[in-house]
Amino acid sequence: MNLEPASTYSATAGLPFDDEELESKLVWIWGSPRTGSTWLLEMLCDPLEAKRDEPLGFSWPDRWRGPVPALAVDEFLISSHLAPHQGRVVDIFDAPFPATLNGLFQRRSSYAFSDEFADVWRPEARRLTLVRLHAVVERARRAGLDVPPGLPVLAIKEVNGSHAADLVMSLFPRSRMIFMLRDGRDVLDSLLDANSPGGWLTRTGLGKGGFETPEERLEFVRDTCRNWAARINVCSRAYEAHDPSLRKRIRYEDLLADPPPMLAELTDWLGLPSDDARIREIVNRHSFAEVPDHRKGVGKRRRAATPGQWRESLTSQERELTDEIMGERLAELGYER
Amino acid sequence: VTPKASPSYSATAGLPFDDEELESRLVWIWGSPRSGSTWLLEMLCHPFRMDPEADLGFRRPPRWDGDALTLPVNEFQIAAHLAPGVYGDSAGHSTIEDEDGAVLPRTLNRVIGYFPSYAFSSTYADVWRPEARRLTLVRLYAVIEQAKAAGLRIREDVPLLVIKEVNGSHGADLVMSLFPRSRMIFLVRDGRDVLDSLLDANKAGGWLTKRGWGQAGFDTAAERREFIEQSSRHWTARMNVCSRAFDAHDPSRRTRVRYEDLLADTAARLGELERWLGLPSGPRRMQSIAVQHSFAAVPEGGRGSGKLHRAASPGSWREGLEPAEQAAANEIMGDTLAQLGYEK
Repeated sequence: MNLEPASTYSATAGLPFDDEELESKLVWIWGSPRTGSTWLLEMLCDPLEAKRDEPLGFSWPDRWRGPVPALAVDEFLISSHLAPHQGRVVDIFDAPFPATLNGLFQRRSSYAFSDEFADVWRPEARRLTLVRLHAVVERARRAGLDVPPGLPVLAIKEVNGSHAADLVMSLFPRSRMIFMLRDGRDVLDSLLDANSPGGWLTRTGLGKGGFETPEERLEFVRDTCRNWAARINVCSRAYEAHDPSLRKRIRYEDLLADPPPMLAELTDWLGLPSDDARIREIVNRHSFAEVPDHRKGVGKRRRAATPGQWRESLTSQERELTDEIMGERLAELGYER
Repeated sequence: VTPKASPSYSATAGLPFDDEELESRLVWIWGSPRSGSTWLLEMLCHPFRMDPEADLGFRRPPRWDGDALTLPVNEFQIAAHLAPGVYGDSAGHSTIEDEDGAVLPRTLNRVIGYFPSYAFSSTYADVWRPEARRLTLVRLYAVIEQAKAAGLRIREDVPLLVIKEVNGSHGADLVMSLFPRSRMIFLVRDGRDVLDSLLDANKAGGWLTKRGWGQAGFDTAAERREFIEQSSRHWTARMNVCSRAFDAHDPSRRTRVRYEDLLADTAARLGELERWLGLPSGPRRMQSIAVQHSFAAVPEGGRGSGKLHRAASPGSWREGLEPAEQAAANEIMGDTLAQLGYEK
């Protein structure tokens, strides 16, 4: 084999940034979809607004010239690449966990992401992720945003990749972790609405388009509960393993009840400007009341912002099922059964 | 940012090998599972036998000390990582239609590739593609290092790495586009025989069922029919993606092999492949390899209905599928079968 002049392997050679510094600026938002994660992302990255049809994935107000201390990365989904989901949940010692390709093949040495070769693929997976994220900073600067001369905070909303939170966080021990919690029954209620015939998930082509029979709806309830529990189990595992000074667990219900102090605490923790006036302004701008009427309500992405709504929406049979699957986990997380 | 010693970005810095040379030694086997891909892999990497439990992923004969000209990489599955399924789908087990009506695998990349903030978005393709290539090469180079460490005799130049990736065929177009200097073997088999084989593997007692990955049989005719339609769509989607990858690849670095032809005259077809790959291809060696890997050489206890090695009989779908099932499969696979040279 032809060896290159620099024959010592390095997974961080040729990077135009300090990999450890960039890693320390990452903030991952994990948990479950429908937990207010986009709301939190946008408040942390104010004045940016997550927008999927914008070249950078976010927009900012016209003629904005102020500083941008945090950049938003909405639906990064690197987790889906590092640990492809296998479309089901498996029970490990009676606890549900997401089935991933890694779990299925990890003991086969020839598998790309095998345990046997973890020392080989892990540094390269970390590198790929960092290079990709650094490009967000470069492009934001190129677009004229006033990004700090060092590195900005990169807030990554990865709730839809929570099935791999443990793997991703283990690759980035210097990064920060926000574990966003919400009562799983409200998550379920929100997903039932999104998957209804006119629901927003259905309209994007990713939803169920409604349920033809009660059995079909019950099946969806069962799957969603198991998925929620599986994601929460993985996130909990990642949370427990992460440096306590670099992790925070927040409840959607608490954030909704009194956003300013919690947002201030988070921004302070992240080294972002957290003066009272700024926090109040951000909270007001992002409140549910500020969402135009035609963009909120039943079937919309922003539906109700009302904790406990599941009590009215779920049938008694569905409530029994949710309690059976999520009950124990909910209690552990401080929710009433 | 504190720039490090090398301020300019390079996706190939710090590699202990020549990335283009290694890339040129890769041979990808694409197509569909149940098309004889393990059989072909083992013949190309003779005398190694696949063993998922072994440290290397394969075994060599006791006291064998020949030169390892090729190294097998069985079920690498990098494609499942580079082009995973949407959450809730198993990678490559769901399909969509493009604007021209072609059935394609429903991968995350295809569904949300237009989101700029998505890690593997088309907007950032110039960023993630070189790094995905690098990760793959580094991981594959480690196979060579591990084989050397295990005492395998490998000549100074790089051995061929034969990568069986049929179960990742839903990402063939993406992977091959990352490795234009590599070689592509597109292994095709009549989709109806693939389906017939999958029905056997998924029945109660079938080998896939025994491993916990199968359907464990079909309770109703409707369930079996649904499986037939789904499997037909998966096969069609995989073939369509592989065909796209094949058409886009350097003609001197691609070859399409029909399982049926390989089975009919194994030594001759294998000889063609080995010559193309620059491997020893004398008729006696080819004949010897063909005989050692023939269906007849599989111990009787290891072959037959429900086994991994089932029948090696092209056309058995005519007996395995009911006429209505044949019609259903033909309706979905028909155009693709015809494009690949099979009778509808």
